[in-house]
Amino acid sequence: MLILSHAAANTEQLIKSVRNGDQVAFATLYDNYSPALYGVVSQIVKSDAVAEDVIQDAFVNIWKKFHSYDSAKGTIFTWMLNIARNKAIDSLRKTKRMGEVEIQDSASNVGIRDSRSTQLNENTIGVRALVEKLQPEQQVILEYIYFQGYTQQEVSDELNVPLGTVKSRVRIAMRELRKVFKTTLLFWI
Amino acid sequence: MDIKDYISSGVLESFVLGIASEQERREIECLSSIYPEIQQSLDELSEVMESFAYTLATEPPAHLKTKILEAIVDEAQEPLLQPLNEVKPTPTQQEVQPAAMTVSKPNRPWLAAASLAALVALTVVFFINQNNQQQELIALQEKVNTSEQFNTELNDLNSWLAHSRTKKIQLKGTENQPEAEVAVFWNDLTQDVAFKVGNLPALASDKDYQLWAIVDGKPTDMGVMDYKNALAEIVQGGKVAGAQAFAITIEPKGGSKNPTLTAMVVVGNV
Repeated sequence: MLILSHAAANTEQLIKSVRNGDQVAFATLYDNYSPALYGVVSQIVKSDAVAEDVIQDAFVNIWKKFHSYDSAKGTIFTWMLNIARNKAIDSLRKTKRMGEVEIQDSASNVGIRDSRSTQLNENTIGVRALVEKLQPEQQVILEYIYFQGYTQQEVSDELNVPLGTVKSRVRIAMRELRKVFKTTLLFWI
Repeated sequence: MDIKDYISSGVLESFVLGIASEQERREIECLSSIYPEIQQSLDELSEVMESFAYTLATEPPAHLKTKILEAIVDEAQEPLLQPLNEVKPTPTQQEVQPAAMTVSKPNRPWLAAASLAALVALTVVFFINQNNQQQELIALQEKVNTSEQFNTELNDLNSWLAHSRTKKIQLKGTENQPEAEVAVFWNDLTQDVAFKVGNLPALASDKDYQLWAIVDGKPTDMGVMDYKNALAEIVQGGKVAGAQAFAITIEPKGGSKNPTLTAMVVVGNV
């Protein structure tokens, strides 16, 4: 607990410094959170090159908009995660639109596919263990919504499942994830 | 609204996953600031997503950090839109979600100062009002007193005028002032004299009308007159016995010991 509160105090100080335009503090913020952000973004865009662009875009945005971060609304990590994830999903949608135009036969599309499979292989050990604890239908929901940025209505249309069912699956998936993390945390402590 | 139902409705999960509608987002922004239970649920769900993100953590290539730090050197941080009335620009893309939303708070010190000023103003107005009312009450009381006194005087005057021994003497204009007209009342019993101005020309400010009673062929001073008074007026301290006639002359301000006969305007015999 002592370590945790110390970390919280450090984060608070870090936020204050970045707010004052401290670029060294921002570098520390980058060190602390970029691996998680990069991991999530990579899972979404399925390409190292695109992930790098998205992460750069996201961090520049985080720097510029830093004054709009409100600690009363949530942690700095959640705030940054949302920015990065939204950028990644925007990028994914753009790529998808382009892909539809190019009708799947271009080399770039194949490239993305390849890089996607590489990413999955690198990252899936932890995730798979985790996600496997969820029911397959919840795993699918999580994939569509969290990694592809589908709305619940889009998932409903895509899977041909009633909207109410999608909503309850989302709820259950989140509850299950929560259970998983609570147990994992207990193991770590 | 039942908070528990709201929390279990799944809308918070949508929010945390970034798939809540714009309306739902605004609603949650608002409700989470009111109900700690909602904020707590949001925090717990966010924590789940944070843990999930940590499990995906991958070290980004080293050159990315250098690139980003170089990129922000020339980028100024945007100030938070603080003034309440300022219109927030609509985000161009599906920008920053839950945590990034900020609600500008009303300027409370200003409000407090304004409230205090209003209170002070109200108090002052109240006291001024009360003071005014008190002064008005005094003035009104004075009016009532005056009125009562006047009423008594008038009743007395009426009784006196109606007295069988009170005579009305009509004073007519002389050649000097043919149009002038004054009524004089005299009671030979009480010896009081009163007059009522019918028509007397206005005088220069250094002149006065003076009333004389003629007794045994000699003028007796009855004092200067308030000729502008439209009502009948009893001459104070001007008792006269054995009056044969009454006359009014124009005299220097304050009156004369002896009448200036050339300046006589009205005269009437008893």
